[in-house]
Amino acid sequence: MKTLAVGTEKGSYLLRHDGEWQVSGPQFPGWKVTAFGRAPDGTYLAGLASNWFGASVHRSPDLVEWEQVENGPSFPEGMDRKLKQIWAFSTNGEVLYAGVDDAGLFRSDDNGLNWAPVEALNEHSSRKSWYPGAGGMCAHHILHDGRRMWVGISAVGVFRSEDDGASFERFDSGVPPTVGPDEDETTAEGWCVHGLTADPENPNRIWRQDHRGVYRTTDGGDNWERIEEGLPANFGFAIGRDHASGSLFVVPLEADTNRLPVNGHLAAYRSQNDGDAWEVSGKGWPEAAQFTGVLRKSITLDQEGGVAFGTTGGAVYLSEDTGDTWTALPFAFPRIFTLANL
Amino acid sequence: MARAVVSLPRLLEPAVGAVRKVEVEGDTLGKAIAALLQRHPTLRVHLFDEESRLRPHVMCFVNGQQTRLEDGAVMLDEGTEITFLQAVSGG
Repeated sequence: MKTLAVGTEKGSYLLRHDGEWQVSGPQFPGWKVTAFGRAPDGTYLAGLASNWFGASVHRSPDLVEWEQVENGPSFPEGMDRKLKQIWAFSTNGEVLYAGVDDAGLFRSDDNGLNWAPVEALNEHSSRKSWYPGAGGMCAHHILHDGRRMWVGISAVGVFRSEDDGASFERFDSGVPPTVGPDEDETTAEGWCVHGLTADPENPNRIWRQDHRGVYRTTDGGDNWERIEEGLPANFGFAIGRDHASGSLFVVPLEADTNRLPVNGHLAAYRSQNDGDAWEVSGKGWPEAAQFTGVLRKSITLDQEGGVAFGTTGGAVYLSEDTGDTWTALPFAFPRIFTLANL
Repeated sequence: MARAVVSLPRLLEPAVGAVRKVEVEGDTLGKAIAALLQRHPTLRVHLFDEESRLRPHVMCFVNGQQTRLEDGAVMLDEGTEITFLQAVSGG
């Protein structure tokens, strides 16, 4: 890891490693920084939200000077949807995507200057029965494979497109629904996917941390199977994969009613066999109890052995050897929403 | 054409940079706000919601009198002061 961007409840911070870790910031003081990304041309991106003002996308050539986008993601006037938060940026070739709350997907063909809604998902025929999770109704993970795309929406499910976003279908077979139909069936079943990660060598292999379990698919989402052996709890948010080694990482939390490490034992769990079994990832975990959570966008991997996650208590844990040894960085931040290797 | 001065809170720096005061022309409140948004279009999403209503936790004062900007036809005098603030609440 060379540069880590930390997006928090109160601004963002940059961590740079040059012999030792140095911190700078805050940038955007007083704002929630909810997402980081890169545009196809390399421009840095940040998503901001606020208790007072609207959510917005900001661009920077250097992580220092930032400029708000004028024509950012927005729902048409008169619609009852509100743009509450930018949750994710992803790129597919020359196209940039953003996932947002209220659940929606937007695309930009000019590196984030102008955005247009992806109608096939935003106006999906099932939308009237979509239901939010505790974190809102948000499109938070976007995966790509050529003209195929997967979008994770909480608490709705995983949607797949085979035609570059022209149409979407939901694929959650094998995962029990988190939300059941209500009595008058105005609410259909919903799947509260929390996180997604895929194998770039074989994008049909996807892993998901859900509200009620950890799952994998080997057929692009047609079928999912539960993979929880060795985990102290199957609830959690963060999931990531080191592609060179194939190592998977999750940070289990006790349950939806108590979103903290089981008995205060904070640790990432690692699987080195595609999720067949999990164990505590290496060494270096705090001996003292840590009553803190880890949110879904607070894990990042640099694909060179670096793995890091941030906590709601403002700590950053880092491994530079694919999870064999871990260190808590000596900084305390506000509640961490997102962590990004930039 | 009356000129008004719009004051913006420092918290809006990510939208408008170091700008704190904007002089706008407009005989009415609605025209003055329109001129403000034309000058700084990035403010729109922060001051107004998807229904073009002032956001619930954004406050606006015209010469010290609070308004929700529901009547854009209010006539402005030369030198009118329009102030936007984020609401303060809690303890």
